[in-house]
Amino acid sequence: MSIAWGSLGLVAIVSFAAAVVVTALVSFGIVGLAARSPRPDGPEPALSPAAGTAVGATCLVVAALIVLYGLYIIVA
Amino acid sequence: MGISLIVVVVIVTALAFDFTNGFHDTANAMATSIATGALKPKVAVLISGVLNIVGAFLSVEVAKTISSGLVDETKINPYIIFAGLIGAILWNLLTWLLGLPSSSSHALFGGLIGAVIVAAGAGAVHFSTLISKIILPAVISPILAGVIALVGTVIAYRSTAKSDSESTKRGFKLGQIASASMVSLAHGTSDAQKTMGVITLVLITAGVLAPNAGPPVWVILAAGLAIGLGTYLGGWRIIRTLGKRVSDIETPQGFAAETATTAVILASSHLGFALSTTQVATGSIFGAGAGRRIAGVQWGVAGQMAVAWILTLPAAAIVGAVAAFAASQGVVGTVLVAVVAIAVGIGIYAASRRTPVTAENVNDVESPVAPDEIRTKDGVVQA
Repeated sequence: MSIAWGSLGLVAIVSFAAAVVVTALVSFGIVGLAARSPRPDGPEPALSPAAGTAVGATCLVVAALIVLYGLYIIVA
Repeated sequence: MGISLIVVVVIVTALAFDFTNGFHDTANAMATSIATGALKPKVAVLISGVLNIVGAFLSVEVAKTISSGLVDETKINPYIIFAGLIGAILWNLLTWLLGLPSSSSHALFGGLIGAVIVAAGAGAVHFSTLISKIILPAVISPILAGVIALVGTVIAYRSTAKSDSESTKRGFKLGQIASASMVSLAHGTSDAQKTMGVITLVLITAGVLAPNAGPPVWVILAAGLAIGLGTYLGGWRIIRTLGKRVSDIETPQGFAAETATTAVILASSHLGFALSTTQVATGSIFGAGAGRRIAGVQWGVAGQMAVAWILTLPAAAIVGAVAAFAASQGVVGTVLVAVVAIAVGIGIYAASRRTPVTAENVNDVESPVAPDEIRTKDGVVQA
């Protein structure tokens, strides 16, 4: 009986990396976009509106690209 | 050559299994979105159902072997497939009644294994494949998904802690809708294809299709519609279990859980592991729950699920074996199996009506709350 430990390990590493990176990117994206329109009673945003927009948009675009690659894997 | 009765029966049974597969597994994608209110229950199951149908059409690479090499496929005939499907359907219905998210794939494999053992002997089952391709990944994948979801949840909460909670909540709601949709799509692709594979194989053995033929469009359409319809009707009992009874899930947790689920399923199916969507999704939800608050997770529920998971394969195998024995006795036996299966199905449905769980009341249960936690949800403060 041969157990494909290599493939199992690869699945673990790839899925861990992909999921953690996407989650982090979306979180940062949300933080960035939240800085665009601070509410008067809300907390002080960490970034200026312009920087927040740039960071947020970049993070979300990269996350979207990873998701598109996931779609590509389903279809292909 | 016309289509014989058994072929028609197998096609109908396969579509019935596909249907139970759909409503059994709605929870995998949508339980947390419904629990957090990111999507209204009816909207969530509609999106999931449609994406399941879309998923059925996405991939043309149909699983060449319906059993993933688990059994000697030269020994398979329509009666075995029929008996295996009956075992899978009945186990799916019973676990649905109990609200337990068990694996539809394992039920199908179990049913087939039981049927093959009766029809062709235990030698026709490849037990080493069973361990390396099914049992080992079944143990590892939920733990892996849970760890990934846990790390993702910690990242999501830590990184957004200093931001305006109103905007981050809205952001994660949108993220959750996207990640849940990906799970639905992946589910439609993998699970609808199983049914397509079964029907195609039966049509080939009946001589209707040429050997090595792909599934005709009507088979793809029928399989997609069956799983989509099942998904749309929603297994509300299992949605309640995963969304509410495991832990009190918030949108960042739901997003982290579904992202982990999608990543594990896509990575593993790409490398040829027949993972259970259900087990991966369940592991993710436990991980996401623990990522925010370990004490807020109902580990007793995890124990119940683990028991159901261990039982799934042998239980479906036993039903499949009994059905195979009866069906091999000729037309009368086959009809008897079908009648008994329908009767048990109706009985389970009737039992479910005594405590119905619907789109309206799916969220109406107390989520587990740690004793020292004060809840301020909906402005109501509870000790």
